[in-house]
Amino acid sequence: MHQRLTLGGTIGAGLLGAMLFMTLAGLIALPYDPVALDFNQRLVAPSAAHWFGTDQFGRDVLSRVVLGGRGSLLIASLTVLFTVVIGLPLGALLAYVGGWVERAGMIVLDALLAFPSLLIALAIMAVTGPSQSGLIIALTIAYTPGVVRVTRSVALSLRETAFVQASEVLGHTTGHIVWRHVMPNCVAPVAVLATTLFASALLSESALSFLGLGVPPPAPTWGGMLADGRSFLSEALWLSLFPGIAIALSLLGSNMLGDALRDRLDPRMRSMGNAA
Amino acid sequence: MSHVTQTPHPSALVEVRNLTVVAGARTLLHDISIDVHAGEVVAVVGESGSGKSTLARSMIGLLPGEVRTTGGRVTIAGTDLMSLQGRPLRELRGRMTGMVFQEPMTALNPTMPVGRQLIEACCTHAGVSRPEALERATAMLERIRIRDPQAALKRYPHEFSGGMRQRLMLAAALLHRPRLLIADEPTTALDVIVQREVLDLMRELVNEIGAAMLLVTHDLAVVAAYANRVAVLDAGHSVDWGSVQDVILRPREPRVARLLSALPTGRRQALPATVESAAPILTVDQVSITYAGRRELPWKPRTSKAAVQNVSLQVRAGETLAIVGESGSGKTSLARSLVRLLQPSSGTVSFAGQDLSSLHHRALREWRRQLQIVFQDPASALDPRLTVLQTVAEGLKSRNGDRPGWVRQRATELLREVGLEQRYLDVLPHQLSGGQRQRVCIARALAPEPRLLVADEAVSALDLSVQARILDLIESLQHKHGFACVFVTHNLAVAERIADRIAVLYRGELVEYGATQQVLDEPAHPYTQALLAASLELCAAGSGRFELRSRQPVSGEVAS
Repeated sequence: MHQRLTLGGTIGAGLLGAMLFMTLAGLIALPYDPVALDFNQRLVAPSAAHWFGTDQFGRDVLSRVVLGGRGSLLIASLTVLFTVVIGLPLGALLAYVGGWVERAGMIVLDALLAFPSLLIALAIMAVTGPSQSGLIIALTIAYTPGVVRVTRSVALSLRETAFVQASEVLGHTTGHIVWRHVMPNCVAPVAVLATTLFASALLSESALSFLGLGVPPPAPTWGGMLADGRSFLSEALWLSLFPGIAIALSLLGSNMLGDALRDRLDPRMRSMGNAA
Repeated sequence: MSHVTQTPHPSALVEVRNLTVVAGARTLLHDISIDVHAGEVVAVVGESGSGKSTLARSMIGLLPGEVRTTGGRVTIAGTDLMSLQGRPLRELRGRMTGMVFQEPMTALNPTMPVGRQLIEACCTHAGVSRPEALERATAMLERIRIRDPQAALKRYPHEFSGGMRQRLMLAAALLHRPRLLIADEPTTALDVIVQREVLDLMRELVNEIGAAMLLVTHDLAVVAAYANRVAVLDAGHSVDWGSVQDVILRPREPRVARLLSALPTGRRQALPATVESAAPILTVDQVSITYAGRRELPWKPRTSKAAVQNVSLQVRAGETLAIVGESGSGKTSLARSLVRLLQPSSGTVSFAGQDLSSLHHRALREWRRQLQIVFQDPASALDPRLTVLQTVAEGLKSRNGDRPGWVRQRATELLREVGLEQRYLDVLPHQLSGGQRQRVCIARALAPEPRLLVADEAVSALDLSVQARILDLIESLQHKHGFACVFVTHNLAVAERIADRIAVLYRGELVEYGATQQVLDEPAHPYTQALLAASLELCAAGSGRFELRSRQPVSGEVAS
């Protein structure tokens, strides 16, 4: 059952695709070495030689944006992936099992939710130390409770539906019911949440990089570049502008794709062509 | 109190001429003409999707945005409705009409005391002062038999029962003395006894203020009992229009006659001796079901509500037992305890000698496959993400050594049994009609070859003609496979049509239990008598004629 995405979804997918293409192209060739210092070319404005200009150490901004995208997008997408893979089954199971297991689980998760997710990430980063994998672990732990909450609330109402009860009466196990009925029907709201999480993860990554807890220099990330460029805003706007645009376009792309996915994942919105 | 000026056409209060209404490419109403005169009750009847609500709404210019009128005209008291828009339209509508909807809870504002809602509507539409409106509201509440009207005006909608709420809606709709009352399925959500009370009250009040009533309903018996004239709609087309006599009691249109023949009538044949003497397959012994409420204060005990109290029943192999009762009588709780979706708080449910509550895990999963259930709303009983094949396959248990394709083949067989063709296998539930969905639910329930099928209001959400076919289907499947059936319903005619024995539940207690004939012809309990007296049925009276039948005179007073 293939059906085109809506216009918004196509644009969103296009934007994300372009970002991905850019970072992949960077694997093959970069105009300059993104970490090479060149003190003769410090703070050069965008020109034919340096399209996005250079920074205070004479490094090519275009090369750094491309390389930074690899880090930022990888961190954001892996965070979202782990969050959903852990949060969706956990939420569905907690809701379906119920009883004291659910209550205990929810107390732990609510306690985590009570702190701002950035604060939790900060605390975890302080333990793991600044590294790419540490960042992913920290953000995953910070965002999972939200996914569990959403999944659980949807699953709670699903538990009372007649089709879940029919499955129960047919003698199916809890595992089967959660896997077959509860989780698939939670996917749509979680997919929408995931796209906003993707955006938050990108932003958190930049915030943590700004605080020196992100990916350690000289490896660039968009957030880190944005933070570095801050002190040169008046003389070299391009230092912050281009990573900023890259972040904005990725966020826009993920949000538009999220909206389209929500519609696409609802079976009632699928093709009515073969209705009887 | 009639400061509404007389119209130049005193004959017809509302006149609809050649009305055609479309939504996008779909025609909702096609060339419809009806008129409503002062003092009469006109019914609009049809199945879901026939356009009856659209017709009622177009008569007061209340069509939703995407719906357009492309032909014909509507006049209210001589004013062409099409020529009005915005404020004048709202004023005319407010002054001339009152509306009562199916679900009174959604039509009343839950955050406001009912008194304020009544008075405000009255002040706005009739232009009377607040003290006068208050006086009218008090009088009206007294009139609709609500005890202590002064106090009732200060209460909130949720503090009233469903029937009371619908009376309040009626009061709100009539307080400003409109000339036309539009009632859209006003009693569909109510129990039989309450339904009669509300309908009687509605007719009385409309008569008192000399208004006309447009009654939108799917219930032909209600039409026959309360309407003067009737329009029958089918898919936006007018099938017939005229007096109730001509249209329904002596149907001249084959399509109306067909609709009438779908009414559940007749009684199940007496049981064959083999079934009569069969051993009970399901024994319900002294079952009580209580729901734990909340603690009001942490140290106080939980309040609990008994849904079912000390009910004992038996179902023999191959027979059909109907459990009849109004909403809140505990019939659904009881049905769910039979398939162990609920654990009784006390008492036992045993199936083929095995106490179900003693089973756990694996043993329970094995046993419960013999007890299947079909729910009321087929739309929510099917996983929207599973195809028909996947849904039916849920009920099939593949064993080792099965040929590949066995599931698909068996599912095809099951679909054929419930009257669906193979091409529906790969279709998603939303692409099916309500009746087809219920057939899929039945196929799924039959897949594990159950020995008992519980049908929880399985035909209540369906249109009359579909309902008749599903009842036939269940009966023929029962003949073929010999399973026993517990049929939960609020509809006596359905119970009579399908059941060998009937159990009547009233407020959680079993008040009557016996053979269909005995319960319906010689009811012993006052509640059963009241229920029978309140039920309206249309019966064939020979030579293509129909007559309204009421079962028995009221001989007992029962609070509802």
